[in-house]
Amino acid sequence: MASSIFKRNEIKKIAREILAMHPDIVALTGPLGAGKTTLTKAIAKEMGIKDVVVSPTFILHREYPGLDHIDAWRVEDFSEIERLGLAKMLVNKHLVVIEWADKFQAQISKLKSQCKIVWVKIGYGEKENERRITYEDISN
Amino acid sequence: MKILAIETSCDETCAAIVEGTKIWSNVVWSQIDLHKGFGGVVPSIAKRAHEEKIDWVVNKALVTDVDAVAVTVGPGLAIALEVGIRKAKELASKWNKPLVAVNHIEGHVLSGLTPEVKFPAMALVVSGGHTELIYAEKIGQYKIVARTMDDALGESLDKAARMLGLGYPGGAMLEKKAEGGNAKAYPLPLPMKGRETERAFSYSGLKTAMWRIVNQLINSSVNQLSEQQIKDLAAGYQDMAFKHVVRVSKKTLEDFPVKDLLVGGGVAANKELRKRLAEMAEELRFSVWFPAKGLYGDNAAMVGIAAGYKAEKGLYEANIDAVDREPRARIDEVFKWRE
Repeated sequence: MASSIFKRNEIKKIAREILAMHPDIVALTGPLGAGKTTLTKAIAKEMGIKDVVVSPTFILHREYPGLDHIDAWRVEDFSEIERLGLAKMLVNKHLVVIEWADKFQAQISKLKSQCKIVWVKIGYGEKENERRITYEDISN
Repeated sequence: MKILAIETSCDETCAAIVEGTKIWSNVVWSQIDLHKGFGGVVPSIAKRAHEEKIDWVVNKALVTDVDAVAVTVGPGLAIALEVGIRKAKELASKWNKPLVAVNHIEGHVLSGLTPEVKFPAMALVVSGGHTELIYAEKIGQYKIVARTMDDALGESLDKAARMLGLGYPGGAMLEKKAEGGNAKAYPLPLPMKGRETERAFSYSGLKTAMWRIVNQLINSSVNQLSEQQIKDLAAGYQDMAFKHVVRVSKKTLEDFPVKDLLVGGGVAANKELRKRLAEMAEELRFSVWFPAKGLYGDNAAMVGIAAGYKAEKGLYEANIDAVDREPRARIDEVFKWRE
């Protein structure tokens, strides 16, 4: 487990380190405005995705080449995320990024027997442009 | 020509019959009325089950015979879009009527259309899922010229409302609170100040600044915001969010040979935003056009209006089976099955 304070311009490094763990699911948690979508943008960029990654809050799910971006903010029941096609996304070997994953921590954690999950916690730092980010491979 | 239009791109299940810009019926099954009384309950896919509502909504809309069927194919949520598409295909086949596939955003663009609108024109679509400026050379020919880089305007207002502990729908609650607030009470930043020429919208920085202020206030007081603090923060947030959309719109409008601005989408229901856009239009000597009441948020009437222009040009789907959902459809690109 790695936990550090990062400045905004260091987000690329975190994206790289997360991808180096070869996750199937990246579970993102943290308060409003902490930077969950910003980190997803950085991950997409590192994956070579050219599209502009925008917030999936309203639409719940956005698909990019090799990446599925899900937002659980408006979701009440985990079965709804399954209905979005989670199993198929994993079979397709897409990286699945789930924002507000803590809403379904138990259900997502259960998937660790089938796939590799990196759990990311983003919190506000002392200074305005700082974030405390913790990320951990919870599959082992 | 009368068209039955169906729209199921996200939360609302909608059907309408439209003839040109005349609306025969416009039925919207929305989550909002159901949830309004319960404060802060957010709709979910389970309750968003369009399958359960689509027949009721279509039957209620069918007040007269129709000549064609139209349906939204994207952008939107795949599992939601497919319900409307399936129904539209079924009815088109059963009645032996032609099918028109419509882009959801084109519906919003044309939702405020009147015969007086002159093209080329600019369109501003502001909703929970979209924030775009679209250059319309003419009806049916579009180019996206500015988009959001992160959150949509409506989503941003909803999240600010949530931070203030307001109920659902957040944007409307925020608008109400903002009326009694002092917008300058707290130092909220203007997004992308001085970068208007980049032609992009961004709301994530404003959201972060709001979170910090709310938390500082909560930590330094009695763990709860006062009514006046809520009003001031609502006013301040809305002020900056709207200032940003108006500044980018203004800069972009000056760069294009247009004199008309069409505004559509759920956030256009906000009176303060409409006022500011009207003031901007007056300053630039522009005409600004808003949809009729009931056509701001997602609805099928706007899909029927857009479909009417396609039908006029004979743009029907030759192969109904090929029509498919397109979650990431862009207004300035052709649908994939046509490529």
